[in-house]
Order: sequence, then C-alpha cells, then structure tokens
Amino acid sequence: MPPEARLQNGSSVASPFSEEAIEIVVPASAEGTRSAIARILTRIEPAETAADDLYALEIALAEVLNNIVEHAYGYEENGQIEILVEPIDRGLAFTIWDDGEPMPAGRLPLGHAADPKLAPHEQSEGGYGLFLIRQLARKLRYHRVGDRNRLSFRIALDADDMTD
Amino acid sequence: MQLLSDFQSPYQVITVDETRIDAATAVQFKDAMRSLVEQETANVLLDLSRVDSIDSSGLGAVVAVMKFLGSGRTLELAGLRPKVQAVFRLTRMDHVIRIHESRDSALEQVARAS
Repeated sequence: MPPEARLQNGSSVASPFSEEAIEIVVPASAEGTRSAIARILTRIEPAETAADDLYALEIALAEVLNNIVEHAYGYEENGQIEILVEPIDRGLAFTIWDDGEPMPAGRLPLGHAADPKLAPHEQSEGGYGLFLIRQLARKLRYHRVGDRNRLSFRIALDADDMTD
Repeated sequence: MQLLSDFQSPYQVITVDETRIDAATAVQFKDAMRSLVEQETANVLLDLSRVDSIDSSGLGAVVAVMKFLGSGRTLELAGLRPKVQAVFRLTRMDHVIRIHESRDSALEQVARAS
C-alpha cells in the first residue's frame, strides 16, 4: 500500500496506530512488561503493518522494559513504569519513565553485537539488549530528570525491512 | 523449562518445548541445558521451532551453553521462527552459530555428507 493511501482513512497522521496517544502504567516486572507490550500491540492494525516492523516493535520494547526491571529497579518490587505512546507519521513515539537507579555514568551504554572474530564459546553473554534497542529504535534519548529516568525513542511501522 | 533430548547421530538433539526464552526463563534454560549435555560428548543441535520469541537474556543463555560446551563441542540451531531469527540476525549471532532451516534439514545434510 502506498503511504498516501493511509491518509484517506480520515486521520491527519499516516500511522497504523488506531488511537490517540495512550499512557500505560505497569508494575516493573516480567508480567508488567508482557502486559504493556500486549496492550500496545492490540492498538496496532496488523493488516497495515509489515510483520518485520511488528517484530522490531516487540523486540525493542521488551529490551527497554526488561532493562528497567533488571537494572534501574534491580528486580526490586513495587517499582512502576510509565509508558506514553504517541502516533507519529509512519510510526510510534515512546516516552518511558521510571523511578529507579540512573544508567551507569548517567548515559545509555552502547551494547555490542556478536564478534565474528571470536569463537562461539568466546562470545560475551551480555550487552546485546542495548545493541538491539539501538538497531531498532530511532532518536533514542536518555535523560535523568530529578530522581527519574526518561527514555524516548521512535519505532518505524511501515518500512519494508527493519535492518535498513 | 521443558527440554526434550534425543540422539540422532551425530547430534544430541534438544528440542525446547516452550514458547519463549526470555529474562524470566533464561536461567532455567541454562541450568536445564547444562544438566542434559554435561554427561554427553556429541555436538548439540538445538531445535527452536516451538520458540516464538527470544530476548537478549535468552541470547546470553545460548552463549552460556556454548561456553560450557567449550571448544570441543559445537552448538547448532534449527527451526528459527521469524522473531527469533530477527534477534540472531540483528545481533550478528547468525555469523557465529551455524543455523539450519529445520532439524530434518540438519540431519539430511549430515546424511548427504557421509
């Protein structure tokens, strides 16, 4: 479908997201992460979205939220995550807040991919989460605001190939 | 963590009978894998055809399995679903681990080569 076709549904933004902006608050836990992703996915029209883009959205969100559960809150109970999702042209903009610990050195780590120069058993066991987020998200920004963490990024929802 | 192990020469074939290997299950996956492979000597073929999604923790657990197999035994994968395949491709882990289309195609390849 050409991008113009989506403009004919009466919306001023060519996004397959079916609603205005939504805000979701979930407990910082594995269950909270799954529930937030499921709630966001139900708002997206799958017929208008490339399967690869939906995978990209799911993978990136799962990594971002798990990172908060694991590192910002350190699996501490009673933590909360606030997720603001806004439709933008051909994608979604996310702003995610938590009250956990800041990122190490106050900045987002780079993460890394597998190293093809190393043998399989010499690969690192960690660091892939942030690499995935950086591969899949655009305009990724992290700020410490008072005692809170604010992460914002965009995910494209109509490209043909998520590795572009 | 439900894992099924059988022997199809030259592999110990382990099928993950779960829909996800993620932050919540990665440690169980690693421990269950270790107990299945530690008494054996064959190369391992991990059938992921029932796994719908894997995250970075799951990927780390797969690397941990390669670490305890060491340099003498290989881990190969088979039957990656699209979302799982995306994670292996995006992290370039597909350049490090041998990936077969399916368990059957891995076994056929061995049969043809011998």
